[in-house]
Amino acid sequence: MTQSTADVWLLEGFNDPVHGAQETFRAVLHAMSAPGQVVALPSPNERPDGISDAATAFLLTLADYTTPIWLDPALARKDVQAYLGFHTGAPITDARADAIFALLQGTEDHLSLNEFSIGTAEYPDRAATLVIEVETLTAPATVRLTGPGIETESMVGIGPCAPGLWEALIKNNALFPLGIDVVFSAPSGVLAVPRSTQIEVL
Amino acid sequence: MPEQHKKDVPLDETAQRRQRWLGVFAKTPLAALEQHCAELVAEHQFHMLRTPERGLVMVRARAGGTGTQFNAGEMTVTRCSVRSPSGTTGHGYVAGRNQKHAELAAKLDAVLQELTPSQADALIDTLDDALSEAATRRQQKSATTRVDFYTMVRGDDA
Repeated sequence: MTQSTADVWLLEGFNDPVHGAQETFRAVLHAMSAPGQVVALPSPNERPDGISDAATAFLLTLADYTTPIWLDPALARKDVQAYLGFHTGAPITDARADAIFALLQGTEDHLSLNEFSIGTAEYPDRAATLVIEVETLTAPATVRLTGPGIETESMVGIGPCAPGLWEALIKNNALFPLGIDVVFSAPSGVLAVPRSTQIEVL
Repeated sequence: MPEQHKKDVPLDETAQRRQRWLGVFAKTPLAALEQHCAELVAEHQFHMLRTPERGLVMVRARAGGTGTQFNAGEMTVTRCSVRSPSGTTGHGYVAGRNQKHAELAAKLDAVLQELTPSQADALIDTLDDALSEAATRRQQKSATTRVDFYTMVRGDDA
């Protein structure tokens, strides 16, 4: 049997895995502690089609064998699973409730945040972190963010934004200290809306 | 990822042949490997999926080969993964800290998957023969200094 091409091409991750992950970690930490701010992330050498550099860098850095990842059905392809499996060792799960990280497409009409783990009173850290892929983080502002990490207020415009998303996140904030954390990813970087952030739709 | 032991599923022929050559690449000294195989990988441009990295693996053993498993100790292993121009993934795992050895093993793994079985086997047989020859030489050398101990029946206690 002569094999000319493999079924799934494995792609490269960070050029320098250690420093790439360290830089990304520092940037994500900054994004989480300053909700509403757009923070640039380093780019991996290669990434699967349909996933942004920022989301890829995020998962390469934070996912490992202890953090099941839930993939949007549109992204749950063999090449994506092989990429994440090879570079992070993270299991891919079909059950939303088991996911520690989830990768979603923000453009979908029915973007549901239900069923993801919100943590427990004893272990609020067991909540899921959702990475939602959008096209831009600098659209005309539609919401005002306030709360921890924001000095006065932060005006944010995410585009395109699935209907009902902000309403769902307002409900999520009401669950604090439980609740999911959300990171929007776009070509320009990431913007975090953790569970502690209060949201007001303009 | 949780460990999945699939010991009930026998490896198919392709996997068995790959398993054999990965073992041969790991056991063949780097100099010999370079001498026989360097030109096989020289013409290809490989993508480094995982640059050579060193780590520890826990070696597990069973007392007498049948007892319960225990951790025999850790050993240093160097691993590397590459992608060939046609998309084949090659993995190399070698004992010790030699990063060049792991890289060459990974590249050869990718190249051999693209060869026909007979081409690949011919190459592996050459290397394997050299390995068994070296083993035989070692055994013969030690055999010359072999001492057989005899236990004499002591009669003075009777």
